[in-house]
Amino acid sequence: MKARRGTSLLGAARTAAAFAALLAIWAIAAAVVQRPFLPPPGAAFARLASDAATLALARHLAASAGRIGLALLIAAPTAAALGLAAGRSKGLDSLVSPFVYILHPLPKIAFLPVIMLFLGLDDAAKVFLIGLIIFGQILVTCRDAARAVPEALVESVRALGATRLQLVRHVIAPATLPAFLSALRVGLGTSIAVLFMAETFASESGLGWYIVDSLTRVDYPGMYAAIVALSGLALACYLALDAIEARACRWRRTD
Amino acid sequence: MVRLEGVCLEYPGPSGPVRALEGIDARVPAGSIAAFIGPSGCGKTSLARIVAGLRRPSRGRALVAGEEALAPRRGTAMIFQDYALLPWKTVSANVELPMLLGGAPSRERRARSRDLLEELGLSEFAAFYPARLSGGMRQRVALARAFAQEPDLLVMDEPFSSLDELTRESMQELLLDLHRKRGATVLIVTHSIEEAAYLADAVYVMRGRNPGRVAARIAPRTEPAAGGAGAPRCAAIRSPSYRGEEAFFGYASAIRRALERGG
Repeated sequence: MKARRGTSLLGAARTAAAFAALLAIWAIAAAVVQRPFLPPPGAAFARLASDAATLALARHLAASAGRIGLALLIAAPTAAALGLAAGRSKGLDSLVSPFVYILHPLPKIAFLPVIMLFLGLDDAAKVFLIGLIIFGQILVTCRDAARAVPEALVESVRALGATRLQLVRHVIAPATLPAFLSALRVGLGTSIAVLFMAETFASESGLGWYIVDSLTRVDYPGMYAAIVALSGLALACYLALDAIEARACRWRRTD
Repeated sequence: MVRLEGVCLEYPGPSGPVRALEGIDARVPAGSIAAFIGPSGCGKTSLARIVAGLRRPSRGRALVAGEEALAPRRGTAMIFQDYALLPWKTVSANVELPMLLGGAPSRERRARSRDLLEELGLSEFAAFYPARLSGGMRQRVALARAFAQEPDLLVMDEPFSSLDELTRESMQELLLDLHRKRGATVLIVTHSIEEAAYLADAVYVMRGRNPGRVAARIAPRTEPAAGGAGAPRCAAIRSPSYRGEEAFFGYASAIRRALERGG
């Protein structure tokens, strides 16, 4: 226990050091370049603080976070369920996998104009697009993970007289959880990038819009403040996933 | 307890159906230990799965307690070679699993798993995950899980073959101990002559490959005077010292001869 806390403290210290190093590189670059489009980190963070005080940025942060959250809430459970089912049922798999094979590599962002024509310029189109990306990622990963569950484990629980649902609950779901979480990680990374693109497109809210709007208004500190906020959002998602993984996948730890 | 009547198994292969088992007949009386021994690929694992209700025979019948074993049955517990513990459940949660699936209340589950873990010397590992246990310990947990089911039939598929010699022998003692106390019928599949000779009241020697058949049934020569009829007679002669006795060697070499003839 003690050792574990020690290593996690050390890990946190290392992360903090890396963060400080990145800020230092930024500061040095700003000092070297000496141009308005690269303000020193101090200016960006000062702007972030004053924006936070006036809630100017908060509305956009909430809009972005809301879009991702909603997409996640809809796409993740459905994709996981379909992925597990496809991974364990040959019939369903032969139905689903050809579609996945064709659709998975397509650049979803290219379909944004089409989606917007169908769903309008509001949030629905953005949520749909992000959801689509998360859905595909999780579907493929969960399907493969469900296929790879050791047959011996399935057998052993089946031998105990488990129902199908109990098999999913005690074997398939926990076995695929780590893969699900890493798919979520990858999916979130991509979807935040896509969110930025989607928000710069016929939009008036969200951090993506705020960044581009600041750019056109030549408000560089404002632009950097929003970039920092968007990065913070991504980082917060990662930290949350880390915390979930540490709790839910304790059995994988070998220390 | 277990009756196999002309059990055959075929499964589809790349070039037509593959016959894995052919005409297996066997009778395992209640409370006894029977071993199926044979070379790799003789279909003995398939046979264990058929008895456990995990697989249906293509022809013939497998009867457990008078009923056809068409699906897993509450009273049948199965032990696998690679332990098959759920890595995401702690030792105690693994032991509780059969009771959980059977809908036992949590207080009863906890009490029974605590008793079993204590009996098997696993109490201090209750909160461990299986990854942190040695092979022998894991198989102990698997035994605890099997007995948590309160089975009347224990089907074991090469249960101790991944363990080192000494651990294997102590697990065999543990199995006999549990068998005496709880009196389940045991059907064990093994490729170890010593294991079969030491544990079993009757040994079915299998031969061939696709299909595998029973070549011989060998029971140790036990004097009726050694203590009445039924299973306890044999259980009585099995103690660690039996491994050094003439009777044990005679039994083992009879099995070996049958295997060599068959293979």
